[in-house]
Amino acid sequence: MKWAKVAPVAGDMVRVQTGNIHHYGVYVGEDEVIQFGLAPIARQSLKESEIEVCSSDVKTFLCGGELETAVMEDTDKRRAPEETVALCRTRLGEKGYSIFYNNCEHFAYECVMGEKKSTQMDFVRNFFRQMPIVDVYTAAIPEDLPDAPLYPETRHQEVFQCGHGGVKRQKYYAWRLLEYALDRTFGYKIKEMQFSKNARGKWETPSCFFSISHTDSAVAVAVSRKVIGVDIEGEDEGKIAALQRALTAEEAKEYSLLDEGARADYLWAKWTAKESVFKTLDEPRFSPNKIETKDYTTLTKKVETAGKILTLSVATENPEKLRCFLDIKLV
Amino acid sequence: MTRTEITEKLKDVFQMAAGKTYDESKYDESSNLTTDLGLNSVGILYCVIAIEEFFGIRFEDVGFGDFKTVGDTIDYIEKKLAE
Repeated sequence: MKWAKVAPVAGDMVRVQTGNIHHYGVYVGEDEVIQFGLAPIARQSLKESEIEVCSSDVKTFLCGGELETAVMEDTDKRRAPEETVALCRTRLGEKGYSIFYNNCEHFAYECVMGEKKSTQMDFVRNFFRQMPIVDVYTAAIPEDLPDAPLYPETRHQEVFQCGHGGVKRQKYYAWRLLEYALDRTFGYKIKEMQFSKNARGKWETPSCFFSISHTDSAVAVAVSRKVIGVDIEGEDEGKIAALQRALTAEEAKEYSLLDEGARADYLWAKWTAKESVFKTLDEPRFSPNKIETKDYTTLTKKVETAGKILTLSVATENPEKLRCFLDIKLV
Repeated sequence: MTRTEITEKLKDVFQMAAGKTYDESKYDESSNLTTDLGLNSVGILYCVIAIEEFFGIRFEDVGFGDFKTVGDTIDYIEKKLAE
């Protein structure tokens, strides 16, 4: 199908450009166009609930613009013109307009082609779908461990098989936070999603990428359309000296030049960045002193969760797009 | 050093590494370092260094993934001590 400035015949889909968008209708013959609401120019703007399928003459449809007609190709499937015209007439007065799901283009496509679609909305949707999403959520881990099931069931069993009570709670609430994050960022309902474990035993879904991290008192979840890794730390103050072993030679040199007061932050930042990078790599072994964080795109920041200031790092393609949703209340 | 001696010495290492979250009742060769003993990644790094000090061995790098359970760790130490 293509658009051409040719005179329409009854049953043809027509459109007119109004500003940056097109207004669509169906030409039903005798200078008449049936459309879902008149062209959305300012003087006619209505609330969605007031918009209805209506009829106008071509001049009113055009609002001073130029008419374009959909010219079908042999491969296009369309209704018979008389069927299209009859269908349009039965729908006069119908309401339920929605710019996203039921607009003038959806109406015209449905009446002419038999398929409800909106190329303009698809374009907008794809534009947003291509925007980088780097959403990180954190939450304090509640004291109790409810028996409300996790989805999928295999994940539930895996979590409840943990022998260590503290780790069990961390894993349980991390998955609960994932459930929350998937819904809030993408509108995904976890029970409708597919999950599986990859060769390295890591949980995956074809719907998006995600990463999980937990400390004794807090959990963090990152979700994105690109590969992503997250790590949150900061509670093992007594073990901070051990983190020096995780530095590369270059980092160790950089570390040695730092003031005493800046060293702890440096170690936590490097450690969390390395762990977040490792989570994006398909490698069996985490060798932190072999990961040069400067070779990857990471972002590190301090976040407050569970009444503590923790260090959080994300590794992904566009970490600068990070949006943080902190201290989500889990139940 | 016998396997029993290594096992006993390792208990102290894990206790220090896991700190207050350590659960001694779960300690045997099949115990998973993270899901049974409560070690996190920083705790495992701490263990690596503690094992070096306690057993006088040296890890080529501080990579994780070579041992998941207490038994794996003992195997690794036995192998290193025999070198």
